[in-house]
Amino acid sequence: MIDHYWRQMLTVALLGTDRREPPVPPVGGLADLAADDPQPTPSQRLLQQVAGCTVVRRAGIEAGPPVATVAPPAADARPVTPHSASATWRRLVADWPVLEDEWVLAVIRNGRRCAPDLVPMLLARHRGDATRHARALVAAGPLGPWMIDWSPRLACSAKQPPVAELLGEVPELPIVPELLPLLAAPPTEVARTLAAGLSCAQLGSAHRAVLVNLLARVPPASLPAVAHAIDRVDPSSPSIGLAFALADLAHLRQHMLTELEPA
Amino acid sequence: MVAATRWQVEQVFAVAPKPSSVAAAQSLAVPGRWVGAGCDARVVWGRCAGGSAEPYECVVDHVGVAFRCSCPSRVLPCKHSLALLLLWARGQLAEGQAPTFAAAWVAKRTAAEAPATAPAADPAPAADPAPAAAPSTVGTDDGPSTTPSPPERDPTAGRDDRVARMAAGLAELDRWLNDRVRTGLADPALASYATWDALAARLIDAQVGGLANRVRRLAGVVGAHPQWHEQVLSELGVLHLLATAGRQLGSLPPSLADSVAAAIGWQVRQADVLAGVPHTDHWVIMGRSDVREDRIEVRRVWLRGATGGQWAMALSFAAYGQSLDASMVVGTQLHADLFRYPGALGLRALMGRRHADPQPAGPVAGCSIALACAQVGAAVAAEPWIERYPVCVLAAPARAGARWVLTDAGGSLPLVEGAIGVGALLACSEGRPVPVTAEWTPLGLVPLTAHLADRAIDLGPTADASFLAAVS
Repeated sequence: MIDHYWRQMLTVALLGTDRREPPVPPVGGLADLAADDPQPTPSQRLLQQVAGCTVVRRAGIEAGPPVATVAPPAADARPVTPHSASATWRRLVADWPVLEDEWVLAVIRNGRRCAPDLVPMLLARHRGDATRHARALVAAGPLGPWMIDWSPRLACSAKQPPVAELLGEVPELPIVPELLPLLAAPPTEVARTLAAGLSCAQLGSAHRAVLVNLLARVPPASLPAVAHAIDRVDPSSPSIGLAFALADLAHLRQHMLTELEPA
Repeated sequence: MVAATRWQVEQVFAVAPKPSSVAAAQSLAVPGRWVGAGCDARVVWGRCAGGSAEPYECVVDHVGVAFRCSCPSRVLPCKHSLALLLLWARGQLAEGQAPTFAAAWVAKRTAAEAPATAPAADPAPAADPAPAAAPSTVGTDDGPSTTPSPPERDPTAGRDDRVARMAAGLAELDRWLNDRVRTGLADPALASYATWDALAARLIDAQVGGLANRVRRLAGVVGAHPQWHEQVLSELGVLHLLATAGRQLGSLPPSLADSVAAAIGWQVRQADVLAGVPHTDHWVIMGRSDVREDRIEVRRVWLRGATGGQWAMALSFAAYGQSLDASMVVGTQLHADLFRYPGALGLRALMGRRHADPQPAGPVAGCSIALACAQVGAAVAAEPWIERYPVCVLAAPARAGARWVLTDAGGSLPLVEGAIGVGALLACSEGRPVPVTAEWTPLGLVPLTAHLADRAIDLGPTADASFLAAVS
């Protein structure tokens, strides 16, 4: 009855009380309200009844009928990534997206599965890139296709199929030829070269992109020494801001790889 | 001298005469723009370089809420006063001894207030609680130091002015509502944002900012979905309810009057809240929800007492470039004192003393859907204008036609269409029943947290990181 009355009032409100009189309230509390506090104009009467009816409908909230639950996805025996890794993923997506490919590959290589709460975001982020989307599905396990069944917008929208040989490798990043040897150099040499370049401002903001790429691809064993050396760059150097950023990247990458180690 | 608690940024916004004042103050609220700025237990002060040869001397009495600035602005408080308060609220002013210009002004105020403090100590009648909530936003400016102070001040004058402005604003709101239902919701004027914004601006002038916010939010609903007429009509009814109740504060029961006053925009001073009786418990951080309201981000953190099971809500605010409070992490619990704001539900609270560092919360129990409905119904009956209420249910996400719901064996409740956390909730639960903290809204439930056996997953809407100083 209250829903019918509400529909009648909605019709009057759409047309306006200049064109149509408000309906008479049904017997009960709303009729009592109208009788106790009579309003002089149709618009005031309608507002009073709308207010009363809104409160009655909201306060009288009722559960709908129970609904059949959905069948769960197939079980995945791989250990889930630790809770802290979810926070790390969110941070690197926001600040250092250059690390994301390595994060997903580390999850897969270390025999883990991606934390379920990240799966929709991971699939949605890479729906336009077939290779990355395919990697995300591997990291997600059976949960990935199951989520796509329920939420088709998470499916891959790329027209090109994934490139099989790229699935298991991090993509190459552009690094200037002068710095390329550092990818294979001993950790101490990498650290010394970067720290010296930043201290004397030989490496500055113009080199930021290639230095980021370099730090995202140097062997993980180099990261502690690199981070340690960059942390100690002369604070008076014009490149100190860049040094801070690179140190953050090195620390985050090191942290990311540590927390994704096999369970 | 009263040892005052530092204001929150929201309180600074509350004393701003208009939104543009806040925007103007933001650009000045950086330490580099000020010389000799500082604060003590009564005032904040500083010199700010402006358009004249001499810097403007600015002092704000944050205890008595009064402003003095040598700038030529006629807006009270001026942008310099607001900027100083913002610096103070963010903890960017060092404590120190007031300089001569500030000390002289304080001395003059103290002398002028002396005869008036006796009546002020007489509490307002219990039947009229709203005025008791007024001081946080009642601001006066007793003008430049060259203007002689009035011989005696009526401490209720500012309050009475505000009550009169508020009553006029509520009456205007009700007239506007009547016009809307008279001409009909199909009136094309409703589709124009200016229709709503002009009203909101007048409500701000009338110092009923809570209603202005609701009006602005409602403007965004028009045409937003096929059922917008129904949503707008409901909200017009709620606005009418508040406009009516706001003009009858004195005749309402005290706790209800407090709730109405808070809903229409009266601010309660933090100091008054913190002077209340603390509610000590092990508070489990059950959920978090960030919402952009006009030009600020609002963070609601829902807490539930591990012992008493009662809900509370901590609010924090951030304007552009600021940070939200990130000290309460979902899935942890805090042994702490909470001080509740007055009101029928008394949900909003301030965190007081923390007795221990945060600990991971234990297992969280969710109730049935039917019980959650009863809880929401009781809350709406107590405060019919609430826009959200927390529930924690043991339920599974499931599909009912085109809509997602939370269901258990006894019933189901719809989730808000397009809610951010629905996909993550489905993934976390894999379709199985899990304890879920959600916000009830008139449009459905917004999932905030999935409490899994080994972790709590924060699913709540998140603030735009590019708007804030840092991801918080």
